[in-house]
Amino acid sequence: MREISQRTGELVAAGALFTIGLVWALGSLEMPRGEFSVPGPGFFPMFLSGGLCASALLIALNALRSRVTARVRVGNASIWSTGIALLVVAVLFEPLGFIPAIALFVAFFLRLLSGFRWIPCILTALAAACVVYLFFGVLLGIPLPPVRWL
Amino acid sequence: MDTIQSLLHGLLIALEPLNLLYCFIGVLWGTLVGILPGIGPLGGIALLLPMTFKMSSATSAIIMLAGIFYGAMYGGSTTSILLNIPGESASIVTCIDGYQMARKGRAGPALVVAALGSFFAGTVSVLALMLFAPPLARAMLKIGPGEEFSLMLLALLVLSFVSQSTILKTLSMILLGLMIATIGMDPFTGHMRFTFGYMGFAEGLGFVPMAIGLFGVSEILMNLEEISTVEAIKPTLRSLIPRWKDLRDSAPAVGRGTLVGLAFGFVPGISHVISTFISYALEKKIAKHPEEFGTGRIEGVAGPEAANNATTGTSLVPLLVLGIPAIPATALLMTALLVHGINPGPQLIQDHPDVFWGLIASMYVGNIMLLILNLPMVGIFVNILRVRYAYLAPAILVISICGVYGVNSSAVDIGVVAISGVVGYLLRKFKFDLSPLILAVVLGDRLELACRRALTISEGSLWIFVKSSFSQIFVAALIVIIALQTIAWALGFRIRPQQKDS
Repeated sequence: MREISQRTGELVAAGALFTIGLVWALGSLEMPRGEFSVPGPGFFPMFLSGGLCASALLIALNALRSRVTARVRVGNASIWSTGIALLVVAVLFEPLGFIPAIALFVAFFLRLLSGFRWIPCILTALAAACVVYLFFGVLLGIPLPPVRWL
Repeated sequence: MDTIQSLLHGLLIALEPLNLLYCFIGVLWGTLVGILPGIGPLGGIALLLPMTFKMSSATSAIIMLAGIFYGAMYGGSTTSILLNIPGESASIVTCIDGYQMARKGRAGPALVVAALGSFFAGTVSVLALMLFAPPLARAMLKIGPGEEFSLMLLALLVLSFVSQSTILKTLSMILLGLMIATIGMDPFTGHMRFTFGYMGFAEGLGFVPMAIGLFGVSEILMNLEEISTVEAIKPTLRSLIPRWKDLRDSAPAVGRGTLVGLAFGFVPGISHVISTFISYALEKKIAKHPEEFGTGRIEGVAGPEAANNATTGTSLVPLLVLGIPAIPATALLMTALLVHGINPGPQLIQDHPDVFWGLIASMYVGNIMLLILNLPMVGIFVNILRVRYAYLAPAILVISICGVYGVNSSAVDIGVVAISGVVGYLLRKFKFDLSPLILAVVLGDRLELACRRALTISEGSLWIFVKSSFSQIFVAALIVIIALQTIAWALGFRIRPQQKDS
């Protein structure tokens, strides 16, 4: 796992929050803001973005002045792989269909965490995906994407 | 008399076979999520929330989801006592003496006292909800948009004081949440805001995928840092029978813990966690032999467990009466009600008495189910803990994917879950509290609506937010809550040095 100082992490977080605040502020400027007696769509977001930018700056200032030297362990291969795998599922979910997409996801996860060989992972994952489809798709009636390409 | 008649009516609703089944599913699932480290009541409710959208009755939906909420409070104590791992945050304190009792072969009495204390406190808590909510709702019917704005703003500000993170970080999370809530169509003018050209965001960024990502997925990612198998102490059924001395010693602690929980249940944020620490500190403070705390004192289990269960009823009061979820779990309950076209708030009891009284009655029934479930089935629950995390984690993620997709049939929501999960993980690593973020997302729309309506009525004058007696009461309440928090911090500050000694 990678170690990052608490200060660096807070500075990065403050930077991200400031950026989001800035984007919101610029977006609010493009909308009618109205006035206090008749607030427009940009009125509330403008105040919020100002507040967020200000608090982000203060967080950054606190982090720079802080004497805390703690280091934080962030992420490992399993964690980042899980995040990426979920994004891949989001992309492939409808084109591939529920069962193949979920089977691939579960197989990947089993391989990642349990170290089984690929064939047992894939077979277990296919079975699990079918069971889940029967429970959620058929029994509970949730409309899950079918396999259209077969 | 009205209250009793309404309660009897609610009991008829709660005892309908389908509602009994949903209550059972809720409390069973709640117990499981309370037991399984890595998925707390919020994750548990978020996972089943999309299923409730298909239900024909809002009452059934809220009965099941509320069952998960208070069921998790029962379940968390099992892992605390048997494994020294809190199943959820409100059970942290139970680890201190509960696990020590288990190591001395007294896991059975610890589990029984925890269950009995939880039952008593949970029942009293529902009674408090039943007695306080209707008169409070009648009073709240008189508030206008100015008072509503003041109240919601104060609830969010209180969060920044009681949150586990620093005030600045919490404020930034609140502001971020309120900004996320502005995504979509402006309710006044129909203007599209912050959709970045994507029509899928016209109704806003999905709250359910965000909640599942921020709390469910981020928790799994945290657990993936270090996967370990656990060895649990497994008590026999015979050993569950407590001694008369255990019941006698724990009863006053249960009473005191219940009162602490009832009081703190109204505080937005992490009332169920704060109340357990306060209760433990109180028991240790008044004990004849405080040095024995930490070595297996039954009061150290009974008090905190009663406290955390006593918050369940009172923490529902802000949601049901004011329409303001005080904690993230009740924010999800609010979503379930809104999907079924029911607006929680002062009109709920008047317009939808079935929902309110059906829920109250089902909580009495649910508490009985939990008492029956938790003790004989402790062996089964312990075996579930032995399932390898390599199998448990993908199972939870797949259920999340199915649940989230079931809301809008949109794969974009799965992407929101993924991104929220990673962002939530990183925020937690750098000590940003996520509860204020999700509460602000839920309240953001209403807060903005109330603000804009109030300013329109007052023609731009800001006095509308503080001039009425209700607004002044809210400000006074804020001062009281800050004072309570200061006392909590002071007690907590004193606990840490003593804990090191024991």
